[in-house]
Amino acid sequence: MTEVDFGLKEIINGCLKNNRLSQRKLYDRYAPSMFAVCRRYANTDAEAEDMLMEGFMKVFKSIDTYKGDSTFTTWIHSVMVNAAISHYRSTRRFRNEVLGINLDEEESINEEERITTSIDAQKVMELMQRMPETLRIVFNLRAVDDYSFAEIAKELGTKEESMRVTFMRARKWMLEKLGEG
Amino acid sequence: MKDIKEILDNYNEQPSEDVWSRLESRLDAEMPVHRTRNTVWKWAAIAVGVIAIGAGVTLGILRQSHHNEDFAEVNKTEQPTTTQPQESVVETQNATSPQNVASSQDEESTIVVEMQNAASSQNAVSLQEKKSSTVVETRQTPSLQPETPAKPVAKEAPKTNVRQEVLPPNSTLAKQLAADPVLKNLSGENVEWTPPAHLSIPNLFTPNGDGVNDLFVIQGLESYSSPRLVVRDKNNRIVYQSSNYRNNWDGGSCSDGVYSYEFTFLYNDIENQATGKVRIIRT
Repeated sequence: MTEVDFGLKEIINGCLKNNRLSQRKLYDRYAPSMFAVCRRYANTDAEAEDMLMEGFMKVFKSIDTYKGDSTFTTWIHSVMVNAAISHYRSTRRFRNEVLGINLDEEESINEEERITTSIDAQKVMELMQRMPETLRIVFNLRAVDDYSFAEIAKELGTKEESMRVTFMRARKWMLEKLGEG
Repeated sequence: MKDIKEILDNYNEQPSEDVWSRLESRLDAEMPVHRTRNTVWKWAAIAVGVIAIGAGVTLGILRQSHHNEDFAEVNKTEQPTTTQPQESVVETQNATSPQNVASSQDEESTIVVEMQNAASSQNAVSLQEKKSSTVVETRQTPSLQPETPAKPVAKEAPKTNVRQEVLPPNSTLAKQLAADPVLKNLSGENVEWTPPAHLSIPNLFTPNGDGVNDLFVIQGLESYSSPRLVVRDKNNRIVYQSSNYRNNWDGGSCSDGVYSYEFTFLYNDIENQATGKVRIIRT
């Protein structure tokens, strides 16, 4: 299997040696896509930048754990999402309004519901930033980063069932906002 | 809500410019770059290696001197113009048996042999100079050592090119040109993928009719479809373009210099682009 990575291997080797130039190159390559990830999880652009820095520090510190079993993009992506989750956990305020949900509440959301209005990424990102924090993290982990409810519950230290309900509420919120146009 | 995922799939955004400098400060604070003990040991090892090579070279010359010993002595007596110190060296040599000279007075006998073997004018070549020439010889070999660390740099730099016959790999020019072609799909996202063949784009070619590197040849071209090439000069004017490039550009009427290229191609129905710089040298 011939892999053309246009220098990625050399960059990774340089990062393994704590070489600043290689670290800079890695940052330049992946910052745009990783910043997009952070923006999804943050309240503001400034917070997203903090998450980005945290994420890259984690990348540089743990780059020796990258074994090549997945693509580098996948690996760096998971490091960034973990950084977002850590950030969320560490900045957690007393969030009662979502955790204290009424489990009897019936959410009549049609699972097959599709977004009919034409929207673009910019709009989605905008709404994402406006979404209440507790809904947003569950929504992102589930709908975009493919976490299972069990995994989300484990990361956030809550019950799986409450994650499902939170997700429903997030979807409802998003659809409403998108429908408003 | 699979749609959301698809919508955001290629979404990228540039963070503000100062994020890297902040990150760099954190790196300097938490992961400083310093000369570790390993580095010191590395230099110690190199120094030992230099001394070992120096000793080896001297021994090699001495072995040669064994054959020339008698010859050297005969010639010495016939040349009264040699300076005093040399004669004293010769005299001490005569005092002892030829075989033993090598073992006891290594450096001096080496100097004598060298002067004889030089076969050029023997006037006023001071011992000092000759001594320094032997030292210089051994010093030259250490230059081999520093080159080894330089080699990885030369290998690193031309990441997609293996053809630099004209430029020495560690010349500043080669380093300047060894731009890392950046692979992006046309949404601007950096792409990692496994193509069926290696793609190698030269950073230099010499269209001078000598049959070597006369064309701008992209190795691996045939593995991709819709190969398009656009070449621009330093003023960003297009000097060549082809919507179905066949590795047949000979530089046209372009003068020697550096040009930038954009090579666009399809792989698995995804359009990708490699960009970089290439130098034309005809002389």
